[in-house]
Amino acid sequence: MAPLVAPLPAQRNGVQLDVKIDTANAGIAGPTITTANLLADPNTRELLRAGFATKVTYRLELWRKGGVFEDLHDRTEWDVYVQYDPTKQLYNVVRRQDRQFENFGGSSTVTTAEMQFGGPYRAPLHPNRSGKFYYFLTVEVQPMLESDLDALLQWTRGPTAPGKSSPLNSIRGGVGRLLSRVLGGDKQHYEARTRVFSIP
Amino acid sequence: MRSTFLTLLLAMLPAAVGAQREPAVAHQTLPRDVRREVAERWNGTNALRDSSRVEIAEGREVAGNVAVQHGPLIIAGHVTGSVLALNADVLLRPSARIDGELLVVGGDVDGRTTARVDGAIRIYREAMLYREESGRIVPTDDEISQDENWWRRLEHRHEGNWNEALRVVQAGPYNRVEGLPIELGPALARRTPWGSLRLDAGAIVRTGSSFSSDRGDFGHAIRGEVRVGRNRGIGIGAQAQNVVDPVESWQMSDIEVALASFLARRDYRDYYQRHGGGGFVTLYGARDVSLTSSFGEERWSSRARRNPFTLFNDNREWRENPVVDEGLFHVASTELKFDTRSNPDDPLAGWYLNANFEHGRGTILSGAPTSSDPRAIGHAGVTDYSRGFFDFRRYNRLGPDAQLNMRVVLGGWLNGDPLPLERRLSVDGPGALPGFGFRSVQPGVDVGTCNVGIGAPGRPAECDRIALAQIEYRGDLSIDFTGDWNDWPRHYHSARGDVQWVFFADAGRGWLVGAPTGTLTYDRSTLPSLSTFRSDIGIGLDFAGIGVYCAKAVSTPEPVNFFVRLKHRF
Repeated sequence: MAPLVAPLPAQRNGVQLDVKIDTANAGIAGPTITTANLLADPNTRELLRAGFATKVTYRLELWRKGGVFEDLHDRTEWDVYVQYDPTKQLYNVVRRQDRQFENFGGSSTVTTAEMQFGGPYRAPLHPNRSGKFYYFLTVEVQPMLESDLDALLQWTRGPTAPGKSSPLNSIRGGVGRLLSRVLGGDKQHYEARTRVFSIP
Repeated sequence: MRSTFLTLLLAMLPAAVGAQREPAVAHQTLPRDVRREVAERWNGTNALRDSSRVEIAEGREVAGNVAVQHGPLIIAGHVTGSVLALNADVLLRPSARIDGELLVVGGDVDGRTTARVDGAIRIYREAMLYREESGRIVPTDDEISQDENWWRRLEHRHEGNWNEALRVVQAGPYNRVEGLPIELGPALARRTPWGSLRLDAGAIVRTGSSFSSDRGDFGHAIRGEVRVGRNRGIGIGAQAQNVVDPVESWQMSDIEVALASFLARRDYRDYYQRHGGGGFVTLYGARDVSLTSSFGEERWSSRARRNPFTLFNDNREWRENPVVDEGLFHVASTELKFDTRSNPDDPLAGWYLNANFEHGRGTILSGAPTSSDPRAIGHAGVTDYSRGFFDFRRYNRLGPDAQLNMRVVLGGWLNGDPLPLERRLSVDGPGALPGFGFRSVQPGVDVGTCNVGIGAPGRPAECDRIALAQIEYRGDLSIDFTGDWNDWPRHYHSARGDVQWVFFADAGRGWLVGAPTGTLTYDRSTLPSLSTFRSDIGIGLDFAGIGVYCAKAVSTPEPVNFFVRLKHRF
């Protein structure tokens, strides 16, 4: 298994995103995703300890190199939820991808909790035709400030729900998003890209 | 590597089966309903149940459920039912196929990306404590009082089983005829072995004025749908509604309309009331495609503007909400959506197509006055029309830091009688041609709204047909205004750079269909000359999705317009 993305020097001390491709089987097997220190940010840890869940969204895209344009060949996405349970003093970790639901159970520290979901994970995404490709991984770490379960569940229901959102959410959401983005709160966003590989 | 490791581990595990009987956990924190489910599955009917290493070879079919404890369980063949692995690891060979669900407790699964599992895969890493009594298992409830925690509720929601006795949601954006529409009522969703069902029933309260039922401050929206098929299939539903809908909603998003109304007292949409019901059929399951057909009987009527609260400009008059054609209509429509965008809110690449065909037949009891077509004094009587709407977009990534996006919108009358005003269109304002003022009086022929002169009150969209083309180039400025320049990976707040610069150009117009006159009315088979189109160019900065732009009309002299968008232009 040959890594096509090596950790950059600055990553060693901070967040690490690795997308490793088995070059011999790149056409039949997806890459292995490894991440570390996504929850190392002091604010994230503080919010976790305060009882706010954290959502980590992985979005992996497979791009096909073209002459002028680059085409999005396929994509996949999965979420990880981390929540601290003060009564048991455990960090609970859940991963969800499409119809797969994986409960890692509780961990005593943030570090061990992150090791649960940050370990090598084989993504179900690979080229199914010939060409030149590369993977593009984005990871978003977002505290779920709406600790209220109903708000969470309303959010998980997604845009197919006939109702749009809670009352005033459009106004609150718009202004809140504007302010949080301008002021630099909101979410942390990381990305990594592999080198181009060929499928004959 | 992980697969190889697990395979080797599984090969060695049979000798260590007994060690799993006493999992090394101090307390049982596995959700209680999961423990119950495991016990029910194990104690229930199984085609294959074993307490040691099990291998279902390629080519072998197990007709029914499989339950294995201790394991490992290796599947290369076909299981027609569901699979339970209790305190056991599972290895799925690429040839493995499970028609039902896979539930693993106290173990892990390898090979799930290559095998085929039609049902859900649920994995609980924590081992389950239990005792065995005459071949049956009994969970050890050492934490009987444990309530279902939010993880389980989240999982239930993901499975599609939930209900709310009183759900309070927003029924639409803040606007000048309703204020804030709020929907209150129960909602229910159930997932069944054959599919799913969903019911939403809500009363709509409009905060625009006096909360008086005779002034239309109350409405309702009831919708039920039954879906046959778990992952893909057909959905059949019915709905009854008394709602206020926009005449055109394709130009700007709900959030932008709501904020402009609430903050600046500018409402970029016109509205009418729909009261009636109908049914619909939808095909679902494909990731990028959806197809929905509907038929309904609706009474359409005008809504007068109210005077809802705004944060600023409260001494300014709201724009009139135009009068529409009132009557009873039977409406059949079919909508096809094709969406391969990488992220609908922030697309890097992909296609988007929204094609809608509508046939309406009904009786107009009170025709609305228009400024620009022969029925200016109003039209009443039976009407029968066909209308199409086509929104086609392509998002192209030129490289890591550049993007070229294109959009074409075509829509309007196809056949039959003239369109009722509820179905007319326009290309006017920041959502379409931002170089031109929204609903502003234009000298000569107004090809944005097809109004003539000062137009009807509120300057409604009067065009029978519209055509609009938009193109934009986006480039990253590589400015990290919220983070550390040396930070890597980049640490920002949207799917791309912190700041993008945007160059855009638009061209479009609307026209009427009929006996050709001047530059407003054209024959049904004629496309207006491109020289008659409005066009503009502009530049802007996109700060993580919030754009500040300026646009300048180039087809006619107009002042420069500045505007803010909370989402991408398209």
